[in-house]
Amino acid sequence: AEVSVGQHWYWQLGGYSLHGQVLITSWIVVAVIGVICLLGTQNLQPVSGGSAATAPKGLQNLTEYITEFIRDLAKTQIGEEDYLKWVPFLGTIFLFIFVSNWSGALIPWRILELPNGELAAPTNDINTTVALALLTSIAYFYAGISKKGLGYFKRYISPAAFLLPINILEDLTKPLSLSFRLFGNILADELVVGVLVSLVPLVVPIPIMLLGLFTSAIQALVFATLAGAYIGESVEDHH
Amino acid sequence: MQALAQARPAAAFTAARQAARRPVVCAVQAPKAAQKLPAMVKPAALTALANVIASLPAHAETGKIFDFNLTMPVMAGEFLLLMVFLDKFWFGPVGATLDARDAELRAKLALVKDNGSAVAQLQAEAERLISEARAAAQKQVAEAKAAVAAECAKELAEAKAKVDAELAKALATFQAEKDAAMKGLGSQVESLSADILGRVLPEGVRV
Repeated sequence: AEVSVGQHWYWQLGGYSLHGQVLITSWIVVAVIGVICLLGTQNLQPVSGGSAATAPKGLQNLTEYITEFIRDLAKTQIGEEDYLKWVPFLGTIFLFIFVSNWSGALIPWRILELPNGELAAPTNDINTTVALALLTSIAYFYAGISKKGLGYFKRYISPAAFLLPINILEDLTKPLSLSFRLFGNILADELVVGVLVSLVPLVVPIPIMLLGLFTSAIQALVFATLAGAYIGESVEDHH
Repeated sequence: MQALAQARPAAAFTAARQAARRPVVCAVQAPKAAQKLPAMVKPAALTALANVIASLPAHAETGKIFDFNLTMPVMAGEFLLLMVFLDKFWFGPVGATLDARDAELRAKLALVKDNGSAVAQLQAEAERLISEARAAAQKQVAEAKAAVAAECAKELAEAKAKVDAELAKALATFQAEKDAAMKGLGSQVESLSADILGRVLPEGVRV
């Protein structure tokens, strides 16, 4: 087996190129999330039978657990007041990144051969991670401006005016760090596993694969938490 | 480049075959073989070079990790569509279910708390009844006690009266006997005094 880095299956649309392998795997990720969603929200019942509220079962339990988890994350980061309207955004961030990372690690994509490049987690492509990071930036700007209007820009000179360049720099480093953190983690893990598998295909890569599962789940959580934290920072009242 | 590379092995192959035949021919003409050897070097070298070139990998594009293109907005668009979908079909309905269950449990809890006050009311009522019953019972006990005490007092009084009466009777009897005895004494005293006077006084004097 060989390890190839940076090879893409180019598609052309209009005058522009696309990375076909990223789109294919992202469609599969979206399909997985969609299936879980549709199966887990059938016959939602807070009550069953008589008038007793019952504990949920099966997939509904899973979807409720995830919803509660995201709600709790949003409430912790954003605060009691506005958190509910940001739950879909943070939830989608978390689910998309989590399912992407784990699909890249668990599904045997190499079975399907592409003309160029190979299928892998969609988050190993810089375009995906930068897209998510830019959406997060737009989200926290939107949150701040929709809540405070133009007074939002006062935060650039708080707590002191000489911090203005640093605050502006922060607005550039936030999406940069978000995107590169995720991209680096996922790509590096794939490369390490790929190299190990090409050297010793049997038992040896397994610990790295398990570590990869763990860290990729953590990266999903970290991305969602930081997105929540940035939104929370934007909407919070003056300290 | 590739066509050339493919042409070369063919040409080199034929050249090599011819070159391979030549040693056979040259083996027959042994004396001339030594002179022909340097002539074989060139085709052999050509063959080797051709094989090396043919084994190089096919032309690959340079690997690009930081390759930004239309994929980025497409992924952003996909993400936004997924977000709208999940809001409508997952976080919305499931969130509503969670809130409904929460509200229901809170209502039940509040109901139970209200029941607590009703229970307290019932408890007060029960205590009142108990205290009333206790008072009634105590009253009855007191009445019974009083009745018994009255009876005892009556009997005691009767007994006392009887004893008093007997005592009075005994006293009266004693008094009567004492009176009788005093009277008897009186007459005895008279007779004695007359006797004494008779003895003491000379005869014939009367008091």
